[in-house]
Amino acid sequence: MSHGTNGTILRVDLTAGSISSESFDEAFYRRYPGGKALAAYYLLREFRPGGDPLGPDNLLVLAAGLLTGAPISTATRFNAIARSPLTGGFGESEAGGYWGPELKMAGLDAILVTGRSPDPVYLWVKDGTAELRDARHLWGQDPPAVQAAIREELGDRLVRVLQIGRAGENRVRYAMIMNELRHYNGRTGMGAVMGSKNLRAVAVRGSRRYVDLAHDPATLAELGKRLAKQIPEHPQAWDLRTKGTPGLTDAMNAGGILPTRNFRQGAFERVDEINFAAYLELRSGTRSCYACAVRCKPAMAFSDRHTVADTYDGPEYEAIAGFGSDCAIGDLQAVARANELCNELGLDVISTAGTIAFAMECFEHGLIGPGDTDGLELRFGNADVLLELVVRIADRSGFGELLAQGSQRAAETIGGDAPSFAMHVKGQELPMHEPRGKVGVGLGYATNEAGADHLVGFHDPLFVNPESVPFRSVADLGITEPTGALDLGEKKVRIWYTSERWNSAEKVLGLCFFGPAPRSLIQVADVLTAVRAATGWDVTADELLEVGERAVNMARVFNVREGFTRADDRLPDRLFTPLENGALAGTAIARDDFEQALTNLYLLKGWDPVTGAPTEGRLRALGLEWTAAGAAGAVGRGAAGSAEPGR
Amino acid sequence: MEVHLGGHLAFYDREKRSWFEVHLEAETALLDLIRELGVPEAEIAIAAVNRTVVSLPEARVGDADRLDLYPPMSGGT
Repeated sequence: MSHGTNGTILRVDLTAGSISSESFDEAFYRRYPGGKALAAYYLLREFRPGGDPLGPDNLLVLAAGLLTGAPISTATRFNAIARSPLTGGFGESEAGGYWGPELKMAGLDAILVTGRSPDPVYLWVKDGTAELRDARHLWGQDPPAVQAAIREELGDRLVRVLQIGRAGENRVRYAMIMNELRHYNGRTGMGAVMGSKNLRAVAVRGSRRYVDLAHDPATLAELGKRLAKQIPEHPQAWDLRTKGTPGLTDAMNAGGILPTRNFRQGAFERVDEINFAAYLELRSGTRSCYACAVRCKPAMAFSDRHTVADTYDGPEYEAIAGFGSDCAIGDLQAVARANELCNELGLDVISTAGTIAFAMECFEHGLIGPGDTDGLELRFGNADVLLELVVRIADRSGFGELLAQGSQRAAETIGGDAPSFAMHVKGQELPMHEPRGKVGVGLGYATNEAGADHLVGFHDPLFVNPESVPFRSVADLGITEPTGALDLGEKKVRIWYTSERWNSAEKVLGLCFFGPAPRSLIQVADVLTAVRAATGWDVTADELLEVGERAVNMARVFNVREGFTRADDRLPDRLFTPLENGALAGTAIARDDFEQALTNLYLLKGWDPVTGAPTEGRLRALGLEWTAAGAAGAVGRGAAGSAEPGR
Repeated sequence: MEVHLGGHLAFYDREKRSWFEVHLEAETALLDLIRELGVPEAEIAIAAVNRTVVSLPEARVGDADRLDLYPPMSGGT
């Protein structure tokens, strides 16, 4: 066994109803230590290119990170990875909470799910043993009822339950997976994949302790204690605990980068009704993930114009900007209710909000009318319609059936100018971060294999001032030269290349984006100490960057096999036109500069600047020569990638 | 004047306040006020006076103004 891992991966074939396990040696884990790397390895090895994302052949991998479950703040994350029904490419989403650590304590590093069960089932994993159990009585039930029923059936209230909601059952292309009701693998439709397999839930319970897996338990425990003491005194941790991500709203608006009216504008005239002060009036507290001293999760409960119960996670910044400013709704109560509905129904908040904002713009331009929308007046600012649409999307009823396909497919169906209103990359809707004010984030949106994602790399404003805490914290990664937030030159591209590899390494290790540098609650040296203590490997920052790069390249090869090229690494045209208002009014991304930056980034990554595919030389250098045949050309995409999900 | 310390900038206030008032006898350089407030200049990404973004080294403020200060902004979840 390799220290820091269980050395065991569970394989579940839902068609056959069979369960088996397999093991790997230390050399394997050092190359694919966990999380994104481990899952991408299996997806590349076993998924047949061109296979239907919602068919039985899709492979869903739930993989804990190398450090997931370690007694260290932010070491909570696990990955859900499969071919995405939203993008047709590499699908991935991470979540924190308690389920990932419990998986590790139950003796597993990952679960591979293939096939399709004839009837709804759930998977029960306890200390390395597993069984499939009947879930027909759970299908169609709300998540709290499902969680309670599973715990009662298993006779253990501490069973950790991961599950989908109605949207996943109905195979909405951007359905999410939740665990413990409050933590979400939101992006790329992993909930739809789970639903397509008739797998409603995965319950886990374990009695191991991570420190017992570690090479040097004493050092690991000591590091965990030191971080637990330091983190509450760190300014940014204090910010996350006392304000959380909703604290961003005012700053984004002041900076002119608060997405408003489907990214036409950068400032919202009703921001005071959705900002941090408004949020404080509704917030009821904060919660934590496993062993994490940051405690950033918002709790919310109120009963007024709308009612929200403290059952799910309260709205984060993404929900506030997505349903608020981007849909022009100046009513935080309605925003919080829309957020709660998404959680209850199992929808990704970002894609739901982005798709509705797109539809609102289509309506206002007359591309669709009440005759298309079941009579709904789908105008910006109409909160009642927003709430109604969220439910119809999850149920794929009426106009919700079209929007359940995501903005890209809906735009193709609506026709006319509609595609120019669909703010997506590779079919995935943009998060609430404006690339016209953070151009590096735009590079990340464009190039990320899973489509637009704001957690792929570091955000540009962190690298403007060389004296700032975030900037100083990344010197150990080789970032020493500051650059402007709007700069797209070679310095920015180099920073982005480093930051993408580092963030990818976090997804392999199972660390939350809110922990390590540049957030700097956990320094680079502390991450190295944790990995060394867990595994006994004498790792360096360069080796972790390479681990991250290997995972990115596997995802890229997966996409190349599915027919993706440089032409798919593109931003919506709107981002090359000026922002209409706010502090950055008139600012646009220069297309030539962006294309040059893209070329420069490919060259740094060792990718072909014409095709966007990894070169054989780079794959060989990363130990990925076994993927080179896939990188040589497309095998799939086509009809399978665009197939409509069955009911 | 009304002062708003966004994000983690409020951590540097002795009472960790996000909103408070200060009294200015006369117009003053914004940088001088920030030093008096104890907020590290390197941590400020945006300064807005009366909701308009200003240049930190050049701006001046008076008692009737509203001041918003924000740190560099990263991602949410």
